[in-house]
Amino acid sequence: MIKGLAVLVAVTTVLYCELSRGDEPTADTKKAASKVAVELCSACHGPGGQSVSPLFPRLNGQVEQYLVAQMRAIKGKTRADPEASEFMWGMVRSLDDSVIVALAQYYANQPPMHGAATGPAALREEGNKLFHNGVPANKIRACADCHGDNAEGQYIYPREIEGASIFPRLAGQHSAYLVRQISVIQNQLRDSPIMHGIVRQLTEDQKQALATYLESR
Amino acid sequence: MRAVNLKSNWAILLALTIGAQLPIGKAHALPVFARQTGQECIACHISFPELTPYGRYFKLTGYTIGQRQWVPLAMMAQEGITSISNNNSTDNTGAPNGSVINRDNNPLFAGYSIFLAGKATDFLGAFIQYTYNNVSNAQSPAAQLKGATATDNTDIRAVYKYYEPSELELNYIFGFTLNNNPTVQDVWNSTPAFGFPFTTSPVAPTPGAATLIDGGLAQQVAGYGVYAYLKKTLYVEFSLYQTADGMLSWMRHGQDPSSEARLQGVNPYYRVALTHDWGPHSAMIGAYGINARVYADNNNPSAGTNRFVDNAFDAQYQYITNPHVVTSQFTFIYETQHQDANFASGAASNPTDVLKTWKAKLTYYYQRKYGATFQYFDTAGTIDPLLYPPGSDPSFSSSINGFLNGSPNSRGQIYELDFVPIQNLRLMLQYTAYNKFNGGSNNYDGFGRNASFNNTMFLNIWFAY
Repeated sequence: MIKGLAVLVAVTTVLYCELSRGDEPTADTKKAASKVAVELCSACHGPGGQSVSPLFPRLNGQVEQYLVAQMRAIKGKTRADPEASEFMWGMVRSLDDSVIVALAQYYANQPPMHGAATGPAALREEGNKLFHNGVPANKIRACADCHGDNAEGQYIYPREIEGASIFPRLAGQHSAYLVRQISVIQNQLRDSPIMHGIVRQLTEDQKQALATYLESR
Repeated sequence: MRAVNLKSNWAILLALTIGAQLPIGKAHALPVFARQTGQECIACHISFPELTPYGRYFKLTGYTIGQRQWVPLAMMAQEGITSISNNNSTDNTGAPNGSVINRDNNPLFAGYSIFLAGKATDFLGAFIQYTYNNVSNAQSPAAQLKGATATDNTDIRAVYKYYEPSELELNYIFGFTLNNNPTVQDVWNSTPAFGFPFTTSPVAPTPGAATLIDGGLAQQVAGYGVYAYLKKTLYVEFSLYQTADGMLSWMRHGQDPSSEARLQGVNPYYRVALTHDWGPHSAMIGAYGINARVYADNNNPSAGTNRFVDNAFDAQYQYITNPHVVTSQFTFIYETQHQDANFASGAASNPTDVLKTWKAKLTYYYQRKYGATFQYFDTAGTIDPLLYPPGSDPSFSSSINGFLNGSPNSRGQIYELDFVPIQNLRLMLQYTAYNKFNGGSNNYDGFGRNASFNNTMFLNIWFAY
């Protein structure tokens, strides 16, 4: 009986993984996604996802599953922060799920995003400490615990940390974009209960320090 | 004559303005391009019609991004109140001649437009505007306003997008444009067609001299040309303009045949621009121009033409972040007027005249809702008493449009405040101040009218759906 139960769990796990991930895109779908990326997405997100303007996040080298989850959330309008609705709802509405998966793979496979070291070195060092140590007194856990020691992000399914298994890459992301996302999560304009609990006590200075450090990575 | 309570009209419109600041839910109703892309207006516009980098990309790719709409229509309408500093005019004998404008300090519906616009195919798109102008005879002594409809700005495009398989962005955009107004096809807001001010009072007096490319051919011509935007750096365009006749006559539908500008043959137009985006910054420097032969007398083509050679330099800078946006545009237009027909017929004093215009504008927006703009404008040119006659000339029914000493010079400033409570609605307060008007600061018309008498306060509501 135990053996049968183990088999059942294994089969269910495999099926769930496949359902969550989506079918592997065909060659034609990958080609279509590439066309979308070059002709449409690059207008704001830059060549290969290395965006120029801090209004638009860099996508290159982002965790594939995170990109899939975000595009699905945008398409389903469950991600409803102002910039998502103003810019992205329309962009994603006509993409089917296979193209979404292919787009996510396209950007995940690009050379990782990179930014510049801006601001005072002391500010970046403060951000470094916050990222790796958190603020235990305010029960703010270290970002590195989930986002990786190098802020590279990770997908750790089926293991979870605080109920989540997908953690986006933050290293090299626009600092202004990171500050904005922390702010919309704090204000619950972006529905992210786990992140809200972690960042809600971050001050403006701490957000800026974290973001400046992360863009420089 | 019905007594007009001046204070109540401004109060009503101001109340509407203030009322619009009450919390209003996010608009789900979108103009046609927004419906096509599913994006909010701010994706493409700083504040309509000024374009963001993505908005320029949308236009350069032929309005083809997004889903084709089965009803590709949109509309806009404007209502406002104009108040000029001194509304008393005199006729060419110096006698009082009623009001300069017959709707001073009164709410006035300026008109509406219907747009047929958007994506036809992945390679073909259009922007076609048809306008009802409620104020086609705005100035005294007309007894009442008379409206008229006409084709407005029109731009139809076919595009070809190219990139190498290894490239990660669209590095080569090639296009064809068919349009009815030189610079309407331009994607930077430093050129006349979509340059600041984006709307003005439909009734206030305006300076009498302007270069041809600065609206002189708008909706009277048909232009066809090709352009290329290479590596998001270099834009080049070459177009030809002719009178919109024959099967293109719909492009100037509604124009007065006796007063419209009619071109001889085909006339070349060029545009080059260098662009660079970095971080939140976007910059452009460029040049544009036209060489056009305009008939002197539409009823007598044998009277010949005058040739206008316009060459212009322009620049644009945008700093776009959330919540702060700063934009700036500059243009300098240098026009050489070969008065071939006018000089021969005695309508111009000189065989050649020069007219120069420059404009510089600075805008700030907070949260894309609260905006302020300042512009300085200056037009100056050759003294030509026959071309720029005084107010006492019998051909003028009123003195206010006369020129002092044959000078075309005008200059001044525009101050503007904008509030965009929802994306479909802009409330604007605009003040235009003239340091010089039609050649003079004081007594420019010969009957005591100063330039500052034409200073204009304009409160406007602009709605688009």
